[in-house]
Amino acid sequence: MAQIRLSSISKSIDGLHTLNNVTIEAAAGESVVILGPSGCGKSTLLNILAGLIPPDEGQVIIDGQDWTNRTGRVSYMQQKDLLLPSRTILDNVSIPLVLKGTNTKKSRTLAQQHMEEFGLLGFENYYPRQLSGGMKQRAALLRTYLFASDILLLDEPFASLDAITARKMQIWLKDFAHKHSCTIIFVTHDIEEALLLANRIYVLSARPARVLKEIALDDSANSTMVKEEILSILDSETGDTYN
Amino acid sequence: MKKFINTAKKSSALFTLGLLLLLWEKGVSWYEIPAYILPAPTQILDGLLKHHQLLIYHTSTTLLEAVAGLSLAVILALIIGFLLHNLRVLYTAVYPLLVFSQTIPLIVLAVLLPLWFGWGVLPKIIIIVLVCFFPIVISFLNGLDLVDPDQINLFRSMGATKWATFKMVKLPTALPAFFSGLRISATYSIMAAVISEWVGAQRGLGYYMTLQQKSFAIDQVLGAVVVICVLSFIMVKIVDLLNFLLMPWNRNQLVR
Repeated sequence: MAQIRLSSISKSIDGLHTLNNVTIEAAAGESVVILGPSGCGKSTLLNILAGLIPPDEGQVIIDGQDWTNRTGRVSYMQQKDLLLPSRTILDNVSIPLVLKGTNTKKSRTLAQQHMEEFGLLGFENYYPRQLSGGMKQRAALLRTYLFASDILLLDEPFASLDAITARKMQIWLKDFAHKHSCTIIFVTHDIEEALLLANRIYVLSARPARVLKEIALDDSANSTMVKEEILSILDSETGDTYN
Repeated sequence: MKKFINTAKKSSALFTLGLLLLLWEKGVSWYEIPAYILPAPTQILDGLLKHHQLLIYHTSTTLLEAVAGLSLAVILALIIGFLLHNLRVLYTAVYPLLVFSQTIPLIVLAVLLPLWFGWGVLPKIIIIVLVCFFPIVISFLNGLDLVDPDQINLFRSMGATKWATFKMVKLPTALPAFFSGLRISATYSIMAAVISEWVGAQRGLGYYMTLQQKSFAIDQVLGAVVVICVLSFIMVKIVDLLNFLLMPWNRNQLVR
C-alpha cells in the first residue's frame, strides 16, 4: 500500500489552472521524483502535500489518513535553505523539535546526534551566513529530517548549488535515504538528477500540469534510454526542445 | 604606513573639526567680536569648567527625561507595532492617523502641554514619547514586513503557532530595522527634552539656556549646546551597544 497518495488533485491559483487531475503515489522507502518544466506547478503540488494550501479537488492521504489541508505531518525543503540568520546551525536544525514542545536543551542534544552524519560536526555554533551553500542545504535537510524522519519533501533542494556540490549532495542523499529507508518526494526539472535519485519518475506537462508518464526505474533500466524517452515525451507535449 | 593611513582616514573628521574650531578662535579675536555676541571656543570651554556643577544639575534632569521618554516610546512602539502588524483592521484604522499626527507642529504642543499637565516632568516626557515613538514604530513595522513568506510557510508546515513564528522568525528579522529607527529616536530624545524645557520648566538644560540667553551669557548657552551634542552622541552609542549585544549574528556586519 502506498504510504503517500495524492489522488486526482486539481488546483487553480488566482484563476490560473495549475494542476489538472494529478495522481501521485509513493510507497514507504521509495524515492519518487516529480519531473517537469519550470513553473508547471510542482511547488504548488508540494504545498498541497504539506497541507499549506487546500486543493480544489482531490485528497492527500498519508499512512491511510486524510491530511488534505492539514499541516504538521510532513515538512519540506526548498531551493532556498530558509535557515534563520539569527540562530546558530544547531539551534536552526532543532527548531522542529522545539516547535513540537521538546525543551531547548533536549532538542539540542537530540539534534547534535545527527550533526556528524550530515557533515556539520564542528559547525554547531556557526551562524548560517558563515557556512557554504552545500552545508546550508545539508542543515536545511537535517531540519526537515528532524521534523518527520520517514518522509522528506524536497523541492529542487540542490538547484542553487554549483554542479559539483550538487552532484555530491545527490549521491549523499541517495545513500542516506537508502540507509534510513526514508520515503522521498523529490521535485526537479533536472533529468540527470531525476535519473540518479528516483525509483520512480512522474513526468509532468507544462501548466496546467498533468501526469504525462509514470516511469519505474529498476536496476536493469538503461538510463540513456529512459532519458531519451523522457525527452521525447516532453518534446512532443510542448512542441519545444526541453533543456 | 598602511596603518597610519587608516588611522588618518578614521580621524579625518576630527581633523576637520579642529580646523573649524581654530578658524572660529582666530576669527573671533581677529574681528574683535565681543563675547556676548559670539564667544571663542576657549571661552566656551572656560565657561563649561567654571559652571560645571550647575550644568551637571540641569543635565541630570534632561537626561532623566530623555531616557524615561525614549524607554516609554520603545515599549509603546513594540506593543503598537505588534498589534498593528497582526490586526490588519487596526492597521488600516490607525496607521494613516499615525502618519497624520506627525504633521502637528511640535512646538505648539510643547507650549500647550504644560497648561494641561503642569510645569513638572510629565509634559516633557509626553513630548519626548511623541517625538521618539514614530520613527521606531514605522521602522519596526517595515522590518516585520521584510520576512520571507516562504519562511512563514515553512514554519506553518511544521505546525508552528502564530506566536512562535513571530518570536522566532519575525522579531529577529525586524530587529535591524527596529534599531535603525531607535538610533534616530535616540538623537531626537535629548533635543525634544531641551525644546520642551525651553518652553517652560523649572530645571533642565533647556531652562538653563533660556536663563543664560536672557543675561547674554552666550558662552553658557553654547556650553550647554556642547553638553547636548555629547549627550545625544552617548545615547546613539548606547543604542549601538544594545544593537551589538542583542544581535550576535549581525556582529561583523556592524563594523563601521
